[in-house]
Amino acid sequence: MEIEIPQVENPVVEEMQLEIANGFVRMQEQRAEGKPVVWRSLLVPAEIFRAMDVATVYPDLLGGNIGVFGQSGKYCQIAEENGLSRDICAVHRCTLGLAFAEGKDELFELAFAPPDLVVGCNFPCVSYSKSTQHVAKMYNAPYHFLDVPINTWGDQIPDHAIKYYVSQLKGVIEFLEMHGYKLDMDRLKEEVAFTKTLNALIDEIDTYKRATPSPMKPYDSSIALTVPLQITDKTRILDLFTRLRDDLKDRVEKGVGIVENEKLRLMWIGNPPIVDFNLLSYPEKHGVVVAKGLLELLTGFSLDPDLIDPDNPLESIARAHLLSPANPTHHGMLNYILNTVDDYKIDGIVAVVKRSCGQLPASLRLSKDEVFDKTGVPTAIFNCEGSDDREYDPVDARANLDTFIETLLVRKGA
Amino acid sequence: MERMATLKTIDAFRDVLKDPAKVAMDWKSQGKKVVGYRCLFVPEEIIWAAGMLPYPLYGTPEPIRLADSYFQSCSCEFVRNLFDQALDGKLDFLDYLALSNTCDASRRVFDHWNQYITACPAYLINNPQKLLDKTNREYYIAELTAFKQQMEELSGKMITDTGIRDAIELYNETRSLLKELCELRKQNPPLITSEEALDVSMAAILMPKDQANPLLQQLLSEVKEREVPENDGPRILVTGSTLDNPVLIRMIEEEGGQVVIDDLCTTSRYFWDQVDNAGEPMESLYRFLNRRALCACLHPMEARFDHLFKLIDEYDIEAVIDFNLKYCNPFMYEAPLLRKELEAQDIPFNVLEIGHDMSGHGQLRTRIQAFIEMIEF
Repeated sequence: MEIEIPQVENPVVEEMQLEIANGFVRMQEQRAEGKPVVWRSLLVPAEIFRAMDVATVYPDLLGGNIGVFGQSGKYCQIAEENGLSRDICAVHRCTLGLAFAEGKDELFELAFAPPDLVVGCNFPCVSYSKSTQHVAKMYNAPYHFLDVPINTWGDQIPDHAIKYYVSQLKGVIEFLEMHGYKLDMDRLKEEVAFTKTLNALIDEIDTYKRATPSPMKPYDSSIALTVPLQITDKTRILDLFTRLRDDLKDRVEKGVGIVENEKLRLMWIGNPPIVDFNLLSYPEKHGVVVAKGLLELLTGFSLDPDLIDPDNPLESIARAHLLSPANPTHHGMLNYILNTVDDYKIDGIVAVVKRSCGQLPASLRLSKDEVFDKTGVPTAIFNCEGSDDREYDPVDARANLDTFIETLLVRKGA
Repeated sequence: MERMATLKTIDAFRDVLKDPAKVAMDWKSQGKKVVGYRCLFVPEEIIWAAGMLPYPLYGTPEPIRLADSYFQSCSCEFVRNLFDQALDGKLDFLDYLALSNTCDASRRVFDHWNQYITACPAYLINNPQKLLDKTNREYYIAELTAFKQQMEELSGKMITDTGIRDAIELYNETRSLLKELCELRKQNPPLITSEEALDVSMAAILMPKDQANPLLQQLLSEVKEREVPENDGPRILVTGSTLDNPVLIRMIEEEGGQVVIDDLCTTSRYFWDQVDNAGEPMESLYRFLNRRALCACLHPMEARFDHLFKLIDEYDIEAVIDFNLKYCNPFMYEAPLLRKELEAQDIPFNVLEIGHDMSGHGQLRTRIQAFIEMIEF
């Protein structure tokens, strides 16, 4: 079965996609200006990097793009030829394969620049820190590890945890300053204020995304949330997201959905099928939509705006990150799923097992049981290594979705 | 290769390993509690000072039956094995489970345990993942203090500074004796085989230390008198995450290698360092645990590599074998980096991916055989 590269549906998101390419151009310009290129894990707080105008490469997004453009098998193989196990995260294998590759596809030349510095963190999983460590060694780049405490405390984060995480964030700042960047605290406060504004806008967008019929395709949702990472022009970002909000608001008021006669709404947990993003839209042929996924958690823009205080930039960002559902403890993730089931009127959850993921697959049964006990909403768990096209079976994935949807439709009497 | 005659004391340690649960049951028959734990970042001394037995969880070679309904088969095999034992009722004697913040799998077993093994609560010590760093002091001590309070609640006993200091002294003695035994392997040939060393270490870690220590002292005096046959097999260092079955070590020795030091959670990583008992006890425990950056789960990686190179030097190592447990991400990521560093020093290196249930032994033996032949050539 031929897999097509996904296309965005929403015209505002289409503009956003172009801006992402501009973001790569900007990074290359900064590099040409002599700024050290910093590879950083997605969930290292963006505000510091924006405030210091850092030339940034996101290894995780690189790996994702490699998958979207159908090159995952090739670059995973290069990583494996260089000693990496086939059992480690395929997204990170893609990135590392690209970093190892002597000749890179022209497609990725713009997005790629070798690191002068690397900042990794353990949030949300081991692969984020270990793969960045690898890249640093490969390029002999100074490496800094940001240690993010996991949230074992629930809603009440103790002061010592906030203090520790703040000290860790200061460590990142010191590391960058040691290598030529400079932080202006007023600028950091501005960036934190921007995050607050943007997250409030994203929350507003979410209220429209919850509508029935669903007004936004899942691929569009995923693309939109990477935009604030890739471009630095705050005015442009706010303009795009404001227009996206207005567009969705208009669709909701007119009752325009991505499918006519919407019958069911699904949530997608587990890694999205990067090599076949169209899979998320496949259920639409049944009148079923994937209304919400997890990918947006990985961009760092699902923070609670009420927690963010520009006058206490580091403390409030620390608190917001520790309370984010992306923090790798089960209760945070479970609450996120339960809230989504309620807010988005979810009929069923698709939970996919990415074979090379050491984190999410191990929590799917746990989420399945608790969500069903509390809400009666069923979860289907099936294998779907969607980050390595050598292991991905699009026919099997679609058949599994068909079966689950048919069951749900019968259940709903639709 | 001529095998050494076994020592009765080693058999005594091996008897403990034949029925590990008996250690816990004997303890419980005195009306006392047992706290299971995994990994090395759980401070056993605090548990002991509360009058409870810290009980290390080891995997078993049996295939996983029940846990695969909870964890996907692509999750860490060791953690699935432990959870399988719990689901099967084999760990029903535990009153509590203490875990540390090391890897994704350990965090997931914490979540699963609290949901499905309801008779035995689990606690995750939120240790920092960046060690050898002074900035984590206040945070780490706060977390250790919270754990101490939890142990006080569980035991119904106040944990005093004196109690912790006494526990540290006892555990330091165990670590010191195990290290002394380990140093006898610097000799050529070593006075104790790696299989024997693994069994002794695992048993001593399992036992109440006031029972283990006299036995270790007795073993040391016996081993020093031991006559060992000549052996010119290559001197090998084994590294990896956890190994709780001697089959693989035995395989190396049967194929002519001498495993003279092992960098594993069940052996030298446990006993390599001592707690400096001079100061305030929680501070002492913090400084000790903050130095244990010898595991691929924690940072900085360089600390583990530096330590390996020191062992290579001290033990006159000719080759390194890395037993990579399947789906153990931290060690899988580090293996190629370690290879590069070892190759730069002309030290042969072999990574062997192993299943916890010891499947595929035949193939492993062939690879070990080929590796040893290559070293000897």
